[in-house]
Amino acid sequence: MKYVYFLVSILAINPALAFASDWLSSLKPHLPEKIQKFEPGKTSKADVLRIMGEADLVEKNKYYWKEGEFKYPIELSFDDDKLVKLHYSFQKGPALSSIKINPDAFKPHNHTLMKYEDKKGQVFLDVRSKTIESVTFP
Amino acid sequence: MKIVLLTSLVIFSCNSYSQTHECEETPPFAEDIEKIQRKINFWSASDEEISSAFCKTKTAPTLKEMKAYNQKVMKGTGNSGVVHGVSFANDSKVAIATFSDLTTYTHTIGQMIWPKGQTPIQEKFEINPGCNKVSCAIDKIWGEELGTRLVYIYHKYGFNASELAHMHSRRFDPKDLDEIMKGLNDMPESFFPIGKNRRLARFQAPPTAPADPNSKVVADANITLFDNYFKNSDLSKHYTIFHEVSHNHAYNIGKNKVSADYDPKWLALSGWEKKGMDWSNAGGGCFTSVYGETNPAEDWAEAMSAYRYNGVKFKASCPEKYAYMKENVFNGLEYTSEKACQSKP
Repeated sequence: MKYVYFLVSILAINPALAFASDWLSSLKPHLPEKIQKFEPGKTSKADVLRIMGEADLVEKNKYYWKEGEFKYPIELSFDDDKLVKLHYSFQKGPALSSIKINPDAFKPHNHTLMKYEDKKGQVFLDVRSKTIESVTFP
Repeated sequence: MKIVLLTSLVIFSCNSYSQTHECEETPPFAEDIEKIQRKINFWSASDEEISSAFCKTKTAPTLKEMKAYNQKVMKGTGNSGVVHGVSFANDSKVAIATFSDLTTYTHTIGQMIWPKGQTPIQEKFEINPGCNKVSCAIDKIWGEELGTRLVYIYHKYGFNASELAHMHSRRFDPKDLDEIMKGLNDMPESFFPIGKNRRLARFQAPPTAPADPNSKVVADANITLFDNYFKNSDLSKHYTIFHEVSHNHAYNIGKNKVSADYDPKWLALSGWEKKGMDWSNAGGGCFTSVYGETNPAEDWAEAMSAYRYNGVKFKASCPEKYAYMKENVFNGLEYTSEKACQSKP
């Protein structure tokens, strides 16, 4: 019971904590199915290439894939044979309201984007459409 | 010899927007030529060019015109309601909804209702029992001059410029809103309303994070106008408003929920590619300003601004991009002469 009181108090002080643990799981279902299960630090390069097929562009340890005519929404970075970073740019991003991120935690990034960042990654918000523009994790 | 060649190239080079591929002659010193030809300015139009742009809006609507418009839009009776403690009786449904939007506090991000910051309207402004009509309540909060403009801008253009409705915002002066309307009226009327209850805020630094005095940011696409905006000339203000609203218009006219400035055809015009968070272009694109080279969204807003305020130059320098704007954004309307922009496409 004490733990519950503690948790409630902490969340009342900093509501950002209530969102922090959930944003990635609420965002993942909006990613293309092929990359949803990729886990940086765990998924092997061989598995990625088996699922994704040949990359459209390779620059050092970074592999890029096109989506239709859009170059290049998918960027996957490898260290040795492991996936270490995933970036995806949405063309039709999910609404901010469908992602568990405290809006207070976004900071200005540029003219049209705002950025949220924590240990799990970065989320970029298009301020015009109030939709997610892209995500990087971790 | 190099100086002589460079001098002659300055004289014979393409005009200020030109890019290498549009020049007829093969340049002898590619790097030098590129520097000369990239004499595009930071923005797509200077104050002088904005001032002499065809069909430039010179005046804001009069108070009488705005009042007549507001009365027409909010006409009606028979509705009652309570908004933030203020009771209204026998008023129009639209009027009460307008008051609600103008006085309901929203978060900067996503414009979601944010009760934590809500101003207790009745308590602060003591509207009842003296007033039980929306027009009277608006006059009581903002006065006739400012209140009329806020209601007009809300309905005519779809922007909510009330300081009570936005986090980190402060009150506009009526003169500020007149300059904003001049910028908005430089756009085709068919662009408006831009949406419903869209944010238009004058930035107020939060107490916990004072504004950076060295910041050069003028405005953003959210739309927030920072202190630097207010230091600029009136013509620059019109340009800023036009530029920021252009970002929003791109989103509005996008197909299948893809913003028009991310449309593959637009990206292909300048060879835009994205790697991670970095945009780059293939180098053959024709840009209207240095800022337009930042990413496809700025390319778009700068191209729209060039189309409006520097049409003749844009058409001559970047004919392909100009034609794209003419067909996909301005529906055939051109600003290359007084006659052209007065015609209905």
